[in-house]
Amino acid sequence: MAQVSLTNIVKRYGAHVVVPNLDLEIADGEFVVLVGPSGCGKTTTLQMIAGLESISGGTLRIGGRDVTHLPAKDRDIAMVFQSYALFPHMTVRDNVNFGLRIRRTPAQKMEHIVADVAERLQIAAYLDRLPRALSGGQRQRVALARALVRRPGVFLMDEPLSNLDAKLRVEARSFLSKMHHELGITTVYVTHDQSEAMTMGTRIVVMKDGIIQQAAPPLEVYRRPANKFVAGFIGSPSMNFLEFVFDGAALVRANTAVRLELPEAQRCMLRAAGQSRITLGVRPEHLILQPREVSESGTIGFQIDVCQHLGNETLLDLAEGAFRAIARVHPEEDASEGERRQFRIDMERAHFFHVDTGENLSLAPQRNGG
Amino acid sequence: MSELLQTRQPSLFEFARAHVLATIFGVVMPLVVFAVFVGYPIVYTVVLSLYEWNGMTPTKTFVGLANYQYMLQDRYFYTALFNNLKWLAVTLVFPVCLGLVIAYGLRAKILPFPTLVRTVIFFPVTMSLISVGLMFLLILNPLFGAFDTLLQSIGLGGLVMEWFGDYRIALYTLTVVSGWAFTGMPMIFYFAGLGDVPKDTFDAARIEGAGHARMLIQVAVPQLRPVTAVVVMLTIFESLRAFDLIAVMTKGAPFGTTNVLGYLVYLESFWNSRFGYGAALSVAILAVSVGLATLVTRTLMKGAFDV
Repeated sequence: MAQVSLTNIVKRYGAHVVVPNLDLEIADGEFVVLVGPSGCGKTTTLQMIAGLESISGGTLRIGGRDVTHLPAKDRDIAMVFQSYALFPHMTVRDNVNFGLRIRRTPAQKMEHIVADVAERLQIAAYLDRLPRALSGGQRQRVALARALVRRPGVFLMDEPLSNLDAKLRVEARSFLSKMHHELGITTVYVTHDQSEAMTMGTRIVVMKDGIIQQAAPPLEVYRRPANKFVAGFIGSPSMNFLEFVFDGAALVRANTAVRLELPEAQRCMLRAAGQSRITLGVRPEHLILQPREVSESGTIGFQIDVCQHLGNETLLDLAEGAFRAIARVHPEEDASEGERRQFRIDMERAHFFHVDTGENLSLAPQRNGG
Repeated sequence: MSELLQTRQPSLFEFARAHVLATIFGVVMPLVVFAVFVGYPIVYTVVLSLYEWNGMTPTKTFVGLANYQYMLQDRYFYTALFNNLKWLAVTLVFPVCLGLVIAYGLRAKILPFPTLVRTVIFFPVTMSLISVGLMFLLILNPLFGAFDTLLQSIGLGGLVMEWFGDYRIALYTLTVVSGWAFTGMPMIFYFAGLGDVPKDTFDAARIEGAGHARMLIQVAVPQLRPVTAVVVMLTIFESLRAFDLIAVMTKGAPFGTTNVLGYLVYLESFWNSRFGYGAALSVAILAVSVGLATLVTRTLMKGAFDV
């Protein structure tokens, strides 16, 4: 087990800078998920930690040791790849003990370690099979076993679940989390799937264009996103963004009768921020469908375009002029497509973003305060 | 719908009647060309091997299997056959392995100036073996050859040998020259094949602690089996066809120790005017080729495409 410390890490391909300047401290035993859209630099960052990509600048320490320029094999890491990267011509046993054989582990000890890990990962019955005779889920566990047998200081995982079907993915997710709880190995996990990030990580690092947007525990990222990008990326369906003008007391929309009163605390915060135009961020579950008889005051009207009945909840696709939004309502809720309904916004849980920078205005004073 | 389900494959004649032009240009003409330029010479060679003929008289004497009986007792035949097999063995070890290592070096970005290296190594493949032979005759000339001079100038004069005069090494000199000209072929095949081996498997091996040698032998080579099968097949044909270099460089000398089957066919047919026996030797080349090709198909190729 080891802590991982990235200081001023830079990655350049010629003149093209992929990761401009990355600082990240990963504590011993932590499960950190790097998440972001394609091309955000998360896989490059993982590969730099792995030693598969060179580091153009900065320092990488694993377990306090400077490994910036050490080859992959000397970094005390193991990696699980998206494609599993199993050796197709070797049996499961030979795949799993590949690293042990290179390290000239005595045969008996090796057999013991492999049997132990195979038992734990439920692949003991397939040890003499070739990878092509295994299902996706089994292959994934073999890849995990290969990484596990060496008891590395750091586990690196590059989207290891993305080749599994939806059902297996949910099982594998909890399996990996359980394994992390049991073994406590520091893990850096890359995914573009925010639900994986939310459910597995002890800390989520949201990246965009090689820059860390926010690094915090999953619920913190969900409840207090640092900016509009994080707010939109984390959460499914995404947060709704609606532009308003703040008139000093309430949020209004030009040329409409919409006027949303704000609680005192938020009024003060917006006044302090000194912004008249703001982007209001509302999670789908905080857009609350109102009974038909409720008057329009303090609410906002939407046309219901589509009702998506998911069984445990219903998602309503809403439209109001140029506005598009999604509301998450109880499945028993009486709403039908084509009808126009009023929605109340749970202002206590709404977020206010700077129109231009996307910064979360409600976090600004706390950041200033340290 | 039911009509669709019941559609059956048209018979060959129905297809031909419906697609006259495609049948003529796509099937009949290639078959005719093949029959005239490949099929007929093979059949004619087999038939000729049953006759005794000096290549000039209008009549040939039917001798049955006498040419084959003679061949089985001919020590020159065995020398040539074993020389061909030695040629094959050296070619499999030297240019094929070297081609693989260079291809790996290029893919793993170990070698500098990859495009230049690739071009330089592949260039001799495009050269005629006659010119390669003439060039190496000059380079290895015992009086003024560059190679011996080079060895002497760097203090390795003791290694200078009679490259073509010494019967123990003359054949190997030829195979090395042939290997020099052939290395580019396996290199290009392996270079393309390595592009299809998943990069992740190399990355995984690297992380597990494998060095380049282990990655090449334990990760790359097993996944390159289909390419190896093709390369070995090409090498077999190339080795059994060896003729040009011998014709230019040694002409079988010294004492027939560098004879190979291809050159023996030429000697027997055109110098000794024994076209029947020459044909029997050609059939022997064909038989050895088919035998080795079958062996490769049954061993190397078996299951190669399952991985």
